[in-house]
Amino acid sequence: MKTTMPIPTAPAREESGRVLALALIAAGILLPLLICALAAPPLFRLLLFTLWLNGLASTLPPQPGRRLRLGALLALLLLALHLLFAPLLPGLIASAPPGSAALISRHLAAGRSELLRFARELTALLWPSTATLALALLLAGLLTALRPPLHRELLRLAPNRALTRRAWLLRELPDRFGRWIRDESLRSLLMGGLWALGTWLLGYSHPAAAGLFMALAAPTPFWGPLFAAGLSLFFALDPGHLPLQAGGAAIVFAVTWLAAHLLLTPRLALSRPPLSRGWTLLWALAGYLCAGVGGFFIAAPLIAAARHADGALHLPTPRSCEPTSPQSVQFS
Amino acid sequence: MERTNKKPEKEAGQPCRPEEIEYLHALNRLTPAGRKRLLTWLHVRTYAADEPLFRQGEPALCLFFLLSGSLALEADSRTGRPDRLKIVAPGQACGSAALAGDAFYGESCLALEPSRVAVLPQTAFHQLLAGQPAIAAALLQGLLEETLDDWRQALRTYSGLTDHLTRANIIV
Repeated sequence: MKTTMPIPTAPAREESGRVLALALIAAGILLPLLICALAAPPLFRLLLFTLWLNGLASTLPPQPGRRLRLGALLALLLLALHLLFAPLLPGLIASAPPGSAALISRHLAAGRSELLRFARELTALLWPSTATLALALLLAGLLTALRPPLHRELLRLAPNRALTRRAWLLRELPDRFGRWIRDESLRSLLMGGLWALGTWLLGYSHPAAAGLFMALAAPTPFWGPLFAAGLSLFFALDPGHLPLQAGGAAIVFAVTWLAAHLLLTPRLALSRPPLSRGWTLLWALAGYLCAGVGGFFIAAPLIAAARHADGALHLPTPRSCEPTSPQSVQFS
Repeated sequence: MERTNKKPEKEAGQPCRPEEIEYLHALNRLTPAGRKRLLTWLHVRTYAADEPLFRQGEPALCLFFLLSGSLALEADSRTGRPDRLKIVAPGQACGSAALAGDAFYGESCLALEPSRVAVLPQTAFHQLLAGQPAIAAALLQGLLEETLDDWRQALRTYSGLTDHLTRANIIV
């Protein structure tokens, strides 16, 4: 007869299995995305926007009626904004100013032209057509509608010994990623928008590109906004205006930073996994060394995604798992 | 009580039939329509003797209704031997910590003989709470009644024991 029921610990085999599962998930998601980005950019855009929209959809209110109404409203709003900005924004972000080639080549040539080239390539890779966006919205809506039956079926198919782990995974993965995607999107929108507005008021040559860089850098904790602000100086009008524009940029940066911290951080703090500043900087620099400016932007979000996936794979234990006397144990 | 270490015939869950949940105490307050709604979220699992349903300290994510067989609830103790808290009989529920949000199981549950249980995941309860709160409330009321019965039974046993020891002058 079995007489003992030890408190569960995480044996080494389980740990290595978790790491392997994490590596497989990363490879299973990143590799197809990378291949798609290189071989079929339209498919890449569709996958990326579906993932993003699906993450956002998982944070909608749980009440079916409210979920449907709010989801439809947001989808229509997104489509309307896209139709409004589609002819305007990619050109605004990526085009080099006509007639300023001589100035660029003389003063800030290398940095500015490199950044503009990056912005142009990024916009070409990521900017979706209205049809792609509509299809992504449709797929995200379909996935949201299918989530409960899919969840039920996946849980039913779990073997007995994996029931709790599967239930944890199915609850945590959409929850963690959804909140993270929503919160980082809000942060990017706020910081990118304020930075674009500020640099436009200061007379920078490419405020839209500066805003794009700030939006891309916002998910990198602490270092990202600093890096984006530094990059934006390449868009200063000319060396004569640089000190004045840099001073103005410092004020705009302080306002942007404070706005993000005062308005968003208290509400959104829980969705960002804890990453030390030192490690974040090291990862971001490693990303920069591997893939340039784009590598810097995606390094920290990749680590955050890995931390979230790890948290969803790992079953938590109560803070105090001391053996208790029968009198203090609650019936379940 | 016969105990075998045979593996269960089917590891994955099976769909739940309406007649299987008819005699569950916790669902007494549900209307037939509510039971039908709940049924879509339930599935049936078979556990072999000695097989654990959940362990103490795991996150509570599933509620179990015993359909046949018997289960034991045990809590780890400082002596190393688990304290057996309760034997769960068919019709009763266990693991109701799953409905309390981010809770952990306060005890382990294992099958004493080959047992069939209906499993309700926590997500289902959250969906019901958001979409059909009346069904969720009826389920909670049923579980509360069952828990109160357990609590009364435990108090009765405890006070009887205290009374006996007092009369025997073991405690004053």
